Amino acid sequence: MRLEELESARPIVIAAPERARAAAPPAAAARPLALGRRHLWLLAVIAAVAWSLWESGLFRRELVNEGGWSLVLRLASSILRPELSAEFLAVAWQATLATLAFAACGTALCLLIGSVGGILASEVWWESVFPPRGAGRSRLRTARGPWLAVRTLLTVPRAIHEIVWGVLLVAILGLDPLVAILAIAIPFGAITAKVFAELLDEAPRHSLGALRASGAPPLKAFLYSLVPEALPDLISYSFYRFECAIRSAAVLGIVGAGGLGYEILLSLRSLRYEQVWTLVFALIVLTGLSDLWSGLVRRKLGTGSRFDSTLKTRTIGDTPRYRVDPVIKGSILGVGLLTAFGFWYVGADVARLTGSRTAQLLGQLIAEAIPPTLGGMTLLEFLDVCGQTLAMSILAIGLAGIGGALLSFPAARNMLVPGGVVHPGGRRPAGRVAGVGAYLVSRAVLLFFRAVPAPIWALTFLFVFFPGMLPGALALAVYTLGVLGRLMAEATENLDTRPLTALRAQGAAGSHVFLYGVLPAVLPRYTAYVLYRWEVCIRATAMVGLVGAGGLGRLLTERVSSFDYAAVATVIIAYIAIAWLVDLVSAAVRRDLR
Amino acid sequence: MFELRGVTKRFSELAAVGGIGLAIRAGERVALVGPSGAGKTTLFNLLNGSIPPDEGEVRLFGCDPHRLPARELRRLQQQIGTVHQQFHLVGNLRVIHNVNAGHLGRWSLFRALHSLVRPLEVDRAVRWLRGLGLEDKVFERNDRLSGGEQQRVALVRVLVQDPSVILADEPISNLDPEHSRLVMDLLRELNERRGKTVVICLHDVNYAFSHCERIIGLRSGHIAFDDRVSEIPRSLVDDLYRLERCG
Repeated sequence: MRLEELESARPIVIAAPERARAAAPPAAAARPLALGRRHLWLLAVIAAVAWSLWESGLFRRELVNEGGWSLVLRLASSILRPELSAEFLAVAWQATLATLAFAACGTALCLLIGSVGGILASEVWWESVFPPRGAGRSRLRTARGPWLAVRTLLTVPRAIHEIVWGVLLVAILGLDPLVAILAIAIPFGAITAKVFAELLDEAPRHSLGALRASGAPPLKAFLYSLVPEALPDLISYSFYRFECAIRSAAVLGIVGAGGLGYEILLSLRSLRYEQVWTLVFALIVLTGLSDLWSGLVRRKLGTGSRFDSTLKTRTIGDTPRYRVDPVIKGSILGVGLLTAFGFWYVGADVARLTGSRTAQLLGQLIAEAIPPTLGGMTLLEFLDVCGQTLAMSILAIGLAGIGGALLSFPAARNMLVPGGVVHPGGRRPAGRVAGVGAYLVSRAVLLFFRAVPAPIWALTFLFVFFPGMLPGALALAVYTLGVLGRLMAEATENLDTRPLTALRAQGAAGSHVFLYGVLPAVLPRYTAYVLYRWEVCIRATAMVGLVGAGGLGRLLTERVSSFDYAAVATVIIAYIAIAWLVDLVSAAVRRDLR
Repeated sequence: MFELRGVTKRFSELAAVGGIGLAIRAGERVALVGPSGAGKTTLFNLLNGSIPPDEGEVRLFGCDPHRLPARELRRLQQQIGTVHQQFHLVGNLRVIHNVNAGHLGRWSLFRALHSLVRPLEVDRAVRWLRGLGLEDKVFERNDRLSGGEQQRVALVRVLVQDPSVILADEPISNLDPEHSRLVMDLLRELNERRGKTVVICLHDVNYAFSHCERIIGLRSGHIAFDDRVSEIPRSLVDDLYRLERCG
């Protein structure tokens, strides 16, 4: 081989025997088609966003309420003087405790449902109860029936957002702390059951097989084999659920269950903005602390980034080993104490659940809901509302995805700060300060965006926008941006930095390293997060709809307040159908991008 | 070209490189041999300016890289191409983009962006890839390639970068004998005909003798010997490995 030959355009024949045998020099691989499946999805995304924008009425009708700006200004300006009177601080303290108590009790119940449901929803359980007989295609048949049944049963509570559960439970139980606890426990329990089942199914099975072969009954064999194998992941996921429960507990205040969300709503409605900020700060501290705690426990357990267990991206085989670390021991004890405190603090009247009045109301409600009706709307009108809900979620996730991705890079510890891979400032002190500044500011913005619950964002946007899907979409977008930006920053921090330093070592500038090293590595991860949050977003439209933004959520509120349960049932069915559709699309996209 | 004086680099107390003095002139063809853990990779990272020494002085092209302003350092690093032992390619990118990453030091931001959408300078990349038997992998995703293929892609990236110094960290560790010879011949030719300075880290002692002019033996962070090939008896190199095994 000669260098001249390599560098000239002439085809060359390499001396190696297997190359020489080929008569003609092999043509270089053809360029891939301009329009692959990925491009089709990209076009679909652009079309969906365009349709959603049109649906939102942008450029078509007046959307902005000019009079609202003064209110927003007042709200923003009072951030510097939150109300700190002893009297109000006591209110805020009680509300914070209530929110914490709801979350603790909700998580405890959720874990109870999740553990039982998780075992029942796992394939491996049914296979050990009904050991496969015979061979070939009929092998799994017996185990598959009950497994599918439990799986399907679990999708229903999952498709309905906590706040919808809250609204329904208020109708049955009245304004009681139980409402908040159950509204968290039911949907969270179903999600937890699904995740637990997947964790159990993924755990190595040799030990279970050995125990079953020695004649141990299924449940005992489970307790001594799969459960300990999956335990670190189970604990880690439980803490993540607790973190989520705190946010939900705050939001649930809006249906009247009490706690921080309720107080924020009251203060906002009575235009006491100084109070709003005091409560928002309390919420930020509470969620921030629970984030830190859960993050610490998860790090100690060695179970990486927070969504890994739900996204199933961890490779099997590197199951983290469970060491009983003092932090974990303490945390488990702490959670136990917190739960006990929670039940004592809210003083939930559990007897009410089994009371005859509850059963009577529940029966009445179900009787009224069958058969579901459209409640005086035409089918077309109803479908239009469904379309609005879908458009709201697309708009929200689109904005959140773009904004979150943009903010995630300055917010990642290994990017712009000195020593980071794309740190642009060199050794000049100004560059260092700019990098650190961008890091701190973006982190703070993300924290603020996700600490304020989406319905509160919606109420704020409703100051300046006329009710409709746009303020709802914006509110969801801001909140989701906070969540996504944080997740994406974590993904970026977990990057393999060696290819990046290799690019750096050959003299590439920061921006180039970003383009050729960082971006291609994180994009698949980011897409997966966006799709996952889209599924969450569609359920969350109920939350902003409840405070007056458009879509199915608003329809639901109207129907509930007019006690038209037959129409409520239709809305819920529509929600389940849309959530199911979104899951399907998201799964298809993920498959094609893999 | 390269000058190291009393250079020490520690990783958490453990000295990977201890008090090394070394000079490599332009146009030399040097083999770096020594058992695993002798500090070869650390030495390479010092030579391409990725890590600063804890003690002593590193001079590349007569300058201290860690005193240069960022822009100047980048210009200097563009003249040093490194083929890394673990390749350090971007898995999600196609081969063509990984190869074109060699242009990044020269390309404007706009050009770099443009190439990601529609690959530029494909012909040049294809010619080099063809030379190393990879012509059918141009648009393949990098993480679908075998270890040996990735190793050659990493080499092509450096060839496209066209630096005046090539540091190759075990460039043939994943290759079959046929491709190993191809790569070693190519490196020798780049040195002889293009005057590029070549430093190759090798485990295969035979290639050190057949393809290089000078051999530097490293053992636990120190230079054991450093001389022209003709002056080094074969047994000296063999001892380097044997001693380590006993100790």
